[in-house]
Amino acid sequence: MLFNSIQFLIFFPTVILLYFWIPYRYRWILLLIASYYFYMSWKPEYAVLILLSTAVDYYAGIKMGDAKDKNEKKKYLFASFVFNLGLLFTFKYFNFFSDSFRLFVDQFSLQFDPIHLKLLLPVGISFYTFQSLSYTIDVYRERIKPERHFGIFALYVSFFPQLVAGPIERADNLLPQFRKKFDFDYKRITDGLKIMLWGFFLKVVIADRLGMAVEQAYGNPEQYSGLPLLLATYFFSFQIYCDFAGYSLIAIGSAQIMGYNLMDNFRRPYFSKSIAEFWKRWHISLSTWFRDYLYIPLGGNRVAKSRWLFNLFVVFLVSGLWHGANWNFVIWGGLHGIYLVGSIVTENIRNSFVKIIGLSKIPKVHSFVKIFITFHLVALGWIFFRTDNVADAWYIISHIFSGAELSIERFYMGFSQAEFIVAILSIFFMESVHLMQEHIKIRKFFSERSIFFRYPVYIIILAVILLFGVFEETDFIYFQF
Amino acid sequence: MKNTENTKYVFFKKAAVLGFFVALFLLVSNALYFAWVVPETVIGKTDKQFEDRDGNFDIIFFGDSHVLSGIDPQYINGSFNFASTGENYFQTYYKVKKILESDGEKPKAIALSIDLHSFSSTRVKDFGNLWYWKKYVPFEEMVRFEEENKTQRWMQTYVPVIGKGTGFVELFLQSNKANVTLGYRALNEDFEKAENRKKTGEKRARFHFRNAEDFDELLVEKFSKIIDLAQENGVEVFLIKFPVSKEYLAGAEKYIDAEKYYANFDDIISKTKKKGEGIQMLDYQDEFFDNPGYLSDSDHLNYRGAKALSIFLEKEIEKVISLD
Repeated sequence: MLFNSIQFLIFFPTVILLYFWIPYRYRWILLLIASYYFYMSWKPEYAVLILLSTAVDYYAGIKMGDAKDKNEKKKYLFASFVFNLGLLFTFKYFNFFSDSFRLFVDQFSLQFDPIHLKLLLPVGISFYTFQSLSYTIDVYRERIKPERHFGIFALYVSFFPQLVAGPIERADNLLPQFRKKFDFDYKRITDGLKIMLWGFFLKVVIADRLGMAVEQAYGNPEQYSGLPLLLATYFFSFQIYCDFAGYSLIAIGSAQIMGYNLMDNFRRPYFSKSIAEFWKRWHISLSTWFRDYLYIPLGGNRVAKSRWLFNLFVVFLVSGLWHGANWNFVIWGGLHGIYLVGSIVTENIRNSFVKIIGLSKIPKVHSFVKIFITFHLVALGWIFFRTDNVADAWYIISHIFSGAELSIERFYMGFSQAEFIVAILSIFFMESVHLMQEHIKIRKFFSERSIFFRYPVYIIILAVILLFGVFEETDFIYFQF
Repeated sequence: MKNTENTKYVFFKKAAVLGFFVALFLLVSNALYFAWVVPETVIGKTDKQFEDRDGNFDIIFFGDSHVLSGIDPQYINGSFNFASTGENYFQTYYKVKKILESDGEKPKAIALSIDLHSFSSTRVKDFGNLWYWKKYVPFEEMVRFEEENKTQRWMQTYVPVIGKGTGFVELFLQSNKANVTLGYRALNEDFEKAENRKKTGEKRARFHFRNAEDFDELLVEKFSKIIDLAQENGVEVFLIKFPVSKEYLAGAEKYIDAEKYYANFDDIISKTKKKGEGIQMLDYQDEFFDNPGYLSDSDHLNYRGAKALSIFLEKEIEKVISLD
């Protein structure tokens, strides 16, 4: 079920009404049923995979809790790893590795007919397997105690607001919340609704509209050159942000209405002044997952410099592969790895250069330059992320600054003049709000205003969503991961 | 507990007030959309021109964008171009039915396009502008393929302003100045000047034919019904193969066997009640193969092509019916 569907518009209020109506002790049952219903509205049979993953990790958790020594624990952790990663490999990566192996043996003129599994990628598989895995690792590390209530644990794995695209929650944050009693709290509920409203604005007004133009240009890149390709790349940068951050906000807001606090997933990433900062502001739940469960176990930065740089690069390569079974994603991850390694290696040179040209004396300009460069490096990466193959990505990169595109129709990339203006204005509006958020707490700012200021603003945003939203029930980009 | 009950009451009261204002806003903006935006759209203008007709039309052209951009009624006496973008036989059937079953005077003839993509299964679910089609097609028919999205389709039919705010912006910018004359909207681009015509033609053909069945059963059924309906009402039928570029046709032939397609088409015609008797077939498919300057893109005529084709057509039509 999509958040931006009429189905959800009926489903969510129904769940909320029932949630506050039934006795507190039955709420987990309601949420568990709702979560499985939510997931099964895509492909019912794939709910079995979540159930299996839940059962395996529940059992592994209990067994690790009861284990007498580390070796026994390791056995169950290994079983959890094999099952979850095996699931991911089978459904997501098998065909990719099979094809890649064929390409490899082709180099040696050997015959190999790749085996293809005709499996549909289960929605959100990368998210819930990672969430479930983090639980078993934390139990193994004794950071948390195993959850002995199967129903509560099943709810932790399948909690519908964040099931298919995160935020990837940690057990120590979410599990205890399922045992808390949340009353009907006016402020919490209205705050949750406001967060959802902003999420819907990002998704249906900005992301889905920009998506039309991006599809036009990136779907037929060879028909474009110059400015439209640059514009399409900027548009995609905002599309993917609004799509994913929009999803996260709707998830966070809907969980908050019920009383649950999910972690922040985005903090205005395009205001980052470096790639390292970007990854502290973009898809935070995944970045911290990789930090805690891959980067630190590899040694993090407490090793020799060369090993540290290697660790960073490996983490980004794996992160790229996590996003999709395609070389484009691997290149995208690798590119970010190179950015980070490059920024560490060149730090002294860059600092000296900034001093020499006097940029360090004008901090505001310096900040702007850093934001500008970071945004463009990220946008370059998005080209690989968005295109279907490396050839298309290369075409776009090599034609982005070539050829003057004078046809206004091409410039608009399928948009009418009005749609183009709405798209630009909505990005401008969003970034203005983000700029305010960099300096003030916007929710506090609003709560201090009178209702004659607040209510018109809410109604205007709602009206803008209704009039300028794209209601084609477009999938969220991150569902494919 | 009492406090919780009280906050619940306050919350639902405020939600109801907000809901009321949202409903009111939608009602007003929807009314404004129909009053201001719709009349400025191509279909809005076409409909208005058809309803405001002075007397009767001798021949009415139906079809999709090939017809919309390909027939200039100024060069065919007593004609009207009633085509609309993406229109398929399913939709045309209901349009023709409404016109032929109305009390007013009937046209002497109707004309339909019979292009390679006319029966394609890719077109059957292509039901845009539901708010427009609702006056021809029963709602249940419009949503027959989309039971799951019925509520959404209902909204698109009766509250089309949702998601269509850009229409107001266009009005404000006065950017939607589509010129429509007797239902005809001229295209100005010149395919001769297009870069990489081959690739463009192939891409367009792929869009029409890839993963598609050549003959969708429902479209065949509705097409046959159009023919039967026209003949029962004594209305002549002209079936026209519209001009396309050679690049498009070459692209199309990668997916569809044109010869076999038209042989199957003859078979459909022979199964109509009057076995195709009296139907006029006019083939202009390769007419402008060597004149890409008559096309706007790989498969649509521009204003020059529309004029040329309409002049040809008038002569052919006049051999069968008199045009006043």
